[in-house]
Amino acid sequence: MPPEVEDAVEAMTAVNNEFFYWMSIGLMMLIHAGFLAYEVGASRSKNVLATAMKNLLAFATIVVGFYFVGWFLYNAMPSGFIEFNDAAKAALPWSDNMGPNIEDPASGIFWGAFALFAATTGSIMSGAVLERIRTSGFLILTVFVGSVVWIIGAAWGWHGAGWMLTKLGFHDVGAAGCVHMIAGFAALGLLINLGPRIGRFKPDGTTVTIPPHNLPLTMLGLFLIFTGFFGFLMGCAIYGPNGYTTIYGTPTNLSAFAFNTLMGLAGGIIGAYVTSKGEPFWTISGGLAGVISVAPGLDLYHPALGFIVAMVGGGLIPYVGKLLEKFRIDDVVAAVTVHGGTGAYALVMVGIFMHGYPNLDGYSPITFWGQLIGMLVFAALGFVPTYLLSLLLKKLHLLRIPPEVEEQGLDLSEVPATPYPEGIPVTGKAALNGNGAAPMVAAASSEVK
Amino acid sequence: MFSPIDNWDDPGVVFTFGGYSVGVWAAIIVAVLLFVGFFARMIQHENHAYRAIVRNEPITERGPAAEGEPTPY
Repeated sequence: MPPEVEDAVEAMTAVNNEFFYWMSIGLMMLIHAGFLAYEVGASRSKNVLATAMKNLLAFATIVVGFYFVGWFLYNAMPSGFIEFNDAAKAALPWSDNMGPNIEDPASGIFWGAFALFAATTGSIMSGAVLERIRTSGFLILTVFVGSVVWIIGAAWGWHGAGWMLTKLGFHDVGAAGCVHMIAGFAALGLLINLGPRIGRFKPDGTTVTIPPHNLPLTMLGLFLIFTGFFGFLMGCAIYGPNGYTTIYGTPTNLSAFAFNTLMGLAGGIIGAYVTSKGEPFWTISGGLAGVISVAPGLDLYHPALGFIVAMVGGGLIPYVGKLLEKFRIDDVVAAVTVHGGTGAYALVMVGIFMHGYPNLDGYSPITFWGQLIGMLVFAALGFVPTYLLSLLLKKLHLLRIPPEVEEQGLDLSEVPATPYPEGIPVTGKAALNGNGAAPMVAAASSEVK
Repeated sequence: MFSPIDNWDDPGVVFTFGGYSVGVWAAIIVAVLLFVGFFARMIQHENHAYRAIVRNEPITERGPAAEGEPTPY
């Protein structure tokens, strides 16, 4: 091949690579549009703007935190501890590679894709804690999870040289463990310290349903998240001159991902519909649970098996949700259930159905025990640090808003605007704070037997 | 003034100041301080707003002058 043709092919390969991940980043932004719509809809109308601001600021702060810390940790910690190897040095924010560099068309675009993974991880917690967390306290926690905790998990188990791959043969192609499971268990640690919303449980432990103020908006939000997940999963494939590989270097293609993403999505919706008896919130959450159920094995499941695994995964979530309520865990959007519980289930399913599949470079093959140990590592990594940090914030009175603010609504106190000035009924107690606010209408709530 | 290159022949690092430079260090330090300052300001704002609600007082911080918004606090 003439040198000029070789140069042209090389240049086109770099351009294609950049464009591939640029599209992935753009599509992943839809996840955040979806989270915002989902959580705004799930809030009562007295909290919608504070909820939206929380989502917006979570995205902004995680991206910045991930630039300064996260990308370095990913490149420095595959062995388990921080090592100042060449990749790690190149990921430091003052290096030649962490800014516009004509000779490096890879660092920025990969950092960007990972920054969106980070923002997704941090934002998963956001819905669980609605309507009673301090926005500042939440942002501290979400930056911690999005820029530090999950990316350590990714370096360990979602990296071509991570110790969980090299020692355990761990397999989690679609990041069900390092993203979903870590975020779900982090949310659990946080919720234990945060406590439920006022009125969510009666003194005898009976659950009181606090209905979302706009269920159709939550459903639209979840559909946006589904769409964004095609960008997320696209970014989980490594695109190179010789085609696609998984993040572990094993060959794959987007056809494999398409089969199982769509069959998983469908299976999860159907499974959750059946077990929730057609309840809309659980049914559409089942779609997310379905995709997460098959995510670790997108490259290897037969689509029919993927459908079955996803249907069971989606079908389980209403029961896990009910179980958490028995412990008085008030998880507004079922993040612990859908992301934490389903992520754990998904990793174990790979251990059952993909036991014996080989890895590259003489690494251990995929095994049931490797998946189980990996799942437990991610559960601990998600839960323990976030539990401890949220406990510290609680001691410093930076975790929860005062009860008076919770009853009157966050929008009234900390957001200098009003969401529905023309009068959608506002839930909560009447507020006469001297600014001319009209008395508000209390919303009905119903009990769950 | 802050360009690390004199021409576009074989450019490598083109970002302001150039890699491993004093300018980059200064920008990083200021950016991190602003990032931390954002959290401090937000906590301050929340404390003020919550205190006003708890004491049942008017919130004295002015909101944006946006059409359709309620009377500024």
